[in-house]
Amino acid sequence: MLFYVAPMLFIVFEYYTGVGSNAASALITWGIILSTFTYLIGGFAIFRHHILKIANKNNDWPYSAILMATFASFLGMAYLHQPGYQWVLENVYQPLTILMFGFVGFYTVTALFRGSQVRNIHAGVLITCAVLLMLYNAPVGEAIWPGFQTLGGWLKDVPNTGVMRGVVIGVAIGVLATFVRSLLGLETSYLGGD
Amino acid sequence: MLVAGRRFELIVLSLICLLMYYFIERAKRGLVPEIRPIPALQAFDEAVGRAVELGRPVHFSTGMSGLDNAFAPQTIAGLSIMKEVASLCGEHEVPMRYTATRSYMIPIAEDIIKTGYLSCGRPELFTPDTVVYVGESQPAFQASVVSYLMDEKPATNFMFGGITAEAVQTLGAGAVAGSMQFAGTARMFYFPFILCLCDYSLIGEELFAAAAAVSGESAQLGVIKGQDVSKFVVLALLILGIILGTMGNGLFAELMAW
Repeated sequence: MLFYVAPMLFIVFEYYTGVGSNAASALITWGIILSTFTYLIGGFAIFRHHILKIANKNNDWPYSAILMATFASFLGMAYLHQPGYQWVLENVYQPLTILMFGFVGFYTVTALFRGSQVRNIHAGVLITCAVLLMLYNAPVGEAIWPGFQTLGGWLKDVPNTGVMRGVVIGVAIGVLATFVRSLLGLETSYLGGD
Repeated sequence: MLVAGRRFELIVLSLICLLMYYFIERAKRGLVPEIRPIPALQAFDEAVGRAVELGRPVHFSTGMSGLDNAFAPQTIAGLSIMKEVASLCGEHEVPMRYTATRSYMIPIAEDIIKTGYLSCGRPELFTPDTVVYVGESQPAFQASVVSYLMDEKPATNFMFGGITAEAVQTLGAGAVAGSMQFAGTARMFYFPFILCLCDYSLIGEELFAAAAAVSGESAQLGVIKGQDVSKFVVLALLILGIILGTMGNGLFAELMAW
């Protein structure tokens, strides 16, 4: 816990006093370096998960085999054949990522449409406001009734802005509460189990 | 010694921290504040009970944000809630899966879940597949969790922490798959999705209050009281600032620049 709390306190001290700026920057850099080393844990976890899946012939194990083969060939190319690596990156990886985002975009709309429900009064108010704001933003809204512009603008600028500011204050105090709980050793979940 | 423009901020910060410390100590001495029940926390038993009845697992995620950025307090709050869910899963012998998107979250999550199972005398429930790491990319997380939710149809899907756009797809998939859903974040852009797609939600500061209340310890409840009193302090400052500003008094502007 000391390794978490002491740097946190030092960074706060540096922010308000300006003393030890270099040391605070170095601490942040050490944090980044340390978190980079944890990729080893991630790599091990991915290998363990997929190798066990292949070994036990679990559902969809061929996908795990494809993942392992792709991982090995991509890693190999990164060190042994840079042009090939670049080609795969630009012509396979990037288009697949764009495809995934595109797919996810459509999925979002359909899943939201299928999954959204007026489960309580808050969701009811929210969906009503969402419809009004859609009509405010879409040109068709004004064509239906010009009042959607006034109503949507008021919703966006008055209740929405006020609530957002309130939420920001509450969240900032909540973050401080977590800070105090961490300082006093009441919050230890980031260290794992008891 | 102190940086100009940050002195008043430091005073307010110190005041809020001291208030919280005071209420923690007060609660430790037995003056435990009365906290209204948080519906989402009360429904955890029902959620895990549902998993027992259906014979299906429970899924938990803290989203894309880890512990190395500004959203770390939200992830920490999510982990606190996960401790409670893990121990309920252990008690009811329900398998649980945590999807990790940050490699350093793997040992933390494994330890929390193992401890939860162990506290109920069921360490054998923990398997190497309890914590699944899907890489650091958001599309990978979305693909993995959506596929898991649609294939395995977990009885309950929990998502607490600094969640981002991945919540839209995963909670959407959970709703379509018929999972009972709980989610909470302090990130405003995702409140609408949570409210529409989940059975229970913790939005904004509720997430931090729930993280403190979930253990039921008196000192933790003191923090919530401290949070409430701090809000009154901030509100008082706001009202004072508005009055002074309207009267043309520049005291507040000077204090902020001090």
